[in-house]
Amino acid sequence: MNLETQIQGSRAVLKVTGRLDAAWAEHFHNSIQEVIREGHHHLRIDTSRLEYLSSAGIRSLLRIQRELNSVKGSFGIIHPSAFVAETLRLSGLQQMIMPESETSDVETVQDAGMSSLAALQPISGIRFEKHSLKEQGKITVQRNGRWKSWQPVRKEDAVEISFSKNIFGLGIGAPEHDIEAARTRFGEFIAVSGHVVWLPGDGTATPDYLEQAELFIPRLHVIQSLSGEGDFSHLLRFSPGEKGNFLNISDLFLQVLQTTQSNAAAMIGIVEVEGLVGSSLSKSPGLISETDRPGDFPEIRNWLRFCGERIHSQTQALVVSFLSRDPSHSSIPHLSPLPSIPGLRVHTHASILPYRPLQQGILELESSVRTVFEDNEPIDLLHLIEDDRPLIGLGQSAFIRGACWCAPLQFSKETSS
Amino acid sequence: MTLVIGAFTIGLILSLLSMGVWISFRILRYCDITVDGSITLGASVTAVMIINGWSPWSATIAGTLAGGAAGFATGMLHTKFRIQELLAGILVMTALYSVNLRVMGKSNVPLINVENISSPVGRMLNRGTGGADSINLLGWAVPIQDASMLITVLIITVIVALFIRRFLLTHLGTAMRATGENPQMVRAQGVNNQTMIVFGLVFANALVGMSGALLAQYQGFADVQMGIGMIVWGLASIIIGEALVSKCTPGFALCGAIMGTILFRLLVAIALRWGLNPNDLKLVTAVFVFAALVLPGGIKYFIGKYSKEKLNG
Amino acid sequence: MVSIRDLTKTFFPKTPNEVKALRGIDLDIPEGCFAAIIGTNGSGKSTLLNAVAGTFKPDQGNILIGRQDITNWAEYRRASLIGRVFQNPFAGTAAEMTIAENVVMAMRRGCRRGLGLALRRSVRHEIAERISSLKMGLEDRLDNPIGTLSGGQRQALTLLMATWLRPSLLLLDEHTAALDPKSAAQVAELTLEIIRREKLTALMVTHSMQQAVQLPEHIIMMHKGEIVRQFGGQEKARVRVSDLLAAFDHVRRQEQLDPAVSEILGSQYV
Repeated sequence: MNLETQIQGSRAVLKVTGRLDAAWAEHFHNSIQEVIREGHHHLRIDTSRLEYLSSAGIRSLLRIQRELNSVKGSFGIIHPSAFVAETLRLSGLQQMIMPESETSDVETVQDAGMSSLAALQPISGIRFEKHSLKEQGKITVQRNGRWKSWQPVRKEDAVEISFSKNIFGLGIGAPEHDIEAARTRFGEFIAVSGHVVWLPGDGTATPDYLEQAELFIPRLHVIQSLSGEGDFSHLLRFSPGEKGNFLNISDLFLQVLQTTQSNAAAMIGIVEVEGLVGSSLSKSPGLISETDRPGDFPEIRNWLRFCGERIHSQTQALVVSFLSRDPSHSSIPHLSPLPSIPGLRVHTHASILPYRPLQQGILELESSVRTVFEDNEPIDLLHLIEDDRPLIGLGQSAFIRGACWCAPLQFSKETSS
Repeated sequence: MTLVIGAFTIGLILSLLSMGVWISFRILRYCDITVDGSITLGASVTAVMIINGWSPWSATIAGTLAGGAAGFATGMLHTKFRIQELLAGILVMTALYSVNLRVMGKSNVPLINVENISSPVGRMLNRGTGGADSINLLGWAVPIQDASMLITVLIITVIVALFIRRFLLTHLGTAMRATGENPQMVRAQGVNNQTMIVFGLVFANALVGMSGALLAQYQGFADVQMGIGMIVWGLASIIIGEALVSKCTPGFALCGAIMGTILFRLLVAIALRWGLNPNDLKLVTAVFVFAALVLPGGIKYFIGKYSKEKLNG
Repeated sequence: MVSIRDLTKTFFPKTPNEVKALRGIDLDIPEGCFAAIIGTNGSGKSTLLNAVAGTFKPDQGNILIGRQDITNWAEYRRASLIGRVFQNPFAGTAAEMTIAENVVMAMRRGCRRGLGLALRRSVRHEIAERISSLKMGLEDRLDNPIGTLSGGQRQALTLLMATWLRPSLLLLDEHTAALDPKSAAQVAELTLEIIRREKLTALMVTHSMQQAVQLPEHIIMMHKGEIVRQFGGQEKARVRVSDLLAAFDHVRRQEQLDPAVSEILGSQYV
């Protein structure tokens, strides 16, 4: 089997030659997925040279169709040979075949709606689109939990929070019914529109997750957390100008600050990963005793897990960041300096999932998050850091493309006091 | 006919040596060159004892034990002091040269007009034939002296060979055979392979010593030089023997060693008769052993040796 | 019951090639437990097994089998308590000797060997009977040299030999690694069968995670001469290959967390 790709405006035409059977279906699907990743959501499969199509081939065609439908793309078979047309007809899939006439006019239907679109200056080959969502949109950030890093956890350090759809956040916690039960399991979490992913600190190394459904609202005992509530002012979309371009997270932070025209911002991103650098708890801080010194080397090895290399490339990450370069925020806990941008303090958690394409143009946060989690399970969770060791440093996390909802942030009164 | 009788007698005597060499080289897979010294030691101890009035039997036994002691020395040097097997043999062999001179007090001890181990058989034959000085063997007149020696060494060799075969089939003998082939396995079965090596070398060199004791009595003297090249003769005999029989079981292998030695002696006797310079004999033998080692069978021998070392390492 | 206390071994000490093969190993294997050691190359797993077998003397520490301290016992002496199967099928048997002769050696493992005839008729009968349990037809080939057997047959026979007299401890050193997949599976199955039937205490070194998950009741994970993780009891029951890989990954990453990274985490991880 051979696949030739031709880009015609917003459409990609893929000409298949040879056989599409069980032996080739996997390869076919991966090749097409590659094309979708590159941002082509309107695909036409030219089957005039296709010699054979088995059920395995049809199955992968259906999978691609479903994926494209979920991102409001389009998919169709063009120039079917008599054999292909007959096979599809007998399978009841003749609607997959697109008439010649329709192939010309699938120009992008921009959902201009409420937003206004503006192109920004590219950074290191990455193009940006800025969509304004809500004027005066603002996020109010609250600090929860009173645990001071690497001290033993006291009962009064923990507080229980419900993460309903309108709250997002990050921190360290566990979804147990009381703090004593949670003590052995505290770990990093991320919460976005009713979805909570957390990495239990009991050594399992596999993230667990909770989803809001019907009357169930995820609740966590947290010992350290920042949570945000409010409206996002902007949506930033970015994608590579050409293959191989990627965006460092510090550049994304600068772009967010510039877009929101503020010194402090909150951000939720759904991004394709080029590489992540981060760390996570390997042992629950609830187990720290008076004599432990988890922050010191080498004891730190037992408490924290360091990625050791740039990991999770080609996956998708759900990222929550709080960032500020406002000097008056320097006393806010849980924000730490980013070496590459002096003065900027951030806290970022990322949950890693298998890749899913996102619809183009303007996106709604809740439905996008739902798409990301559909039939997918989180692979990992990281607290992102920047490794600035000279020569051997892993650098910072970087992304290939994605969507970021952002807004200026303000801290609630009790937090800033 | 004297030639054939002589070749048989000396072949039977040296087949004790061959069996000793077979035990160290083939069973233990140990390159033991103590042999050159221990055969002379056996001869010199026996000769000196006979001259000093001991009975030939006790002298022969003493020669045998002396050979065993030489093997013990080599074994201890190798196992306790971790000296390479070849070097351990060379050290003991060299030391034995002086020991032999000390034992004999001079470089050559003649055994003329003394009892030897075949004397009782000689007297029996004498009585049987009514005092004749030769007997008729297949139409040939053979001197009583030669006939009695042949019969005596034949009996001794057969008894010794049967004894060795029986020993190799015991629990201890089985462990000794396995030691040479796979020391690792033997240790895992609870056998001290080092003890086994020492024991095997004692056994082998005792046989060599016995061979020396009989040789001295047969040829009528013990000489400090008589051991030179014996190891090569032994090897040549074993190689011929292995060509004659398959070497699967200990019994067959022992028969092969005996037959090989006799055949080798016959070949030597014929060659000498045809005019081979006796001085060239050792060169010819060495070339023969070399050829046997390099030809396919010999290569296999080396591989066996190599794999043992690999398992050791 | 096997107890190992603070076992330490350094090869080529004070030279550029110094290898700290064992760094204070503490390990208890209860009576009747089948434990497996897994680890990367050079993790010290074979070294640990060899230390128990007595191939070398440790620099420090003790090894006890039952109440007996065997630390200073020579390798051959330990054979009275320990049965062994090696990685190399050639290592456990003497190739040119017959099947019966090899087995009869194992029948006296750790016992005195006298001048009695090794292969009496009754003994041959006993060998044939027990060897027929392997279902390899070897009972009809008792007088064939072992060298004529396949690797799998030799390993099965070595296993039978090692357990002929019930050992206090059975040591298996990657004993299926050198076999083809089918023979390896057969030998692995036989191993499990014998260990279960005889309720043996066994210690196996394996490089196969699959085998470590399937066969033993206890997994010991080694890295750089230390035991880094053990899976036993209920935890062992749910362990999958991916969990073992993740555990190794964790160890590897733990090493990358050096003082410099520790400093970065100190300033950025709050």
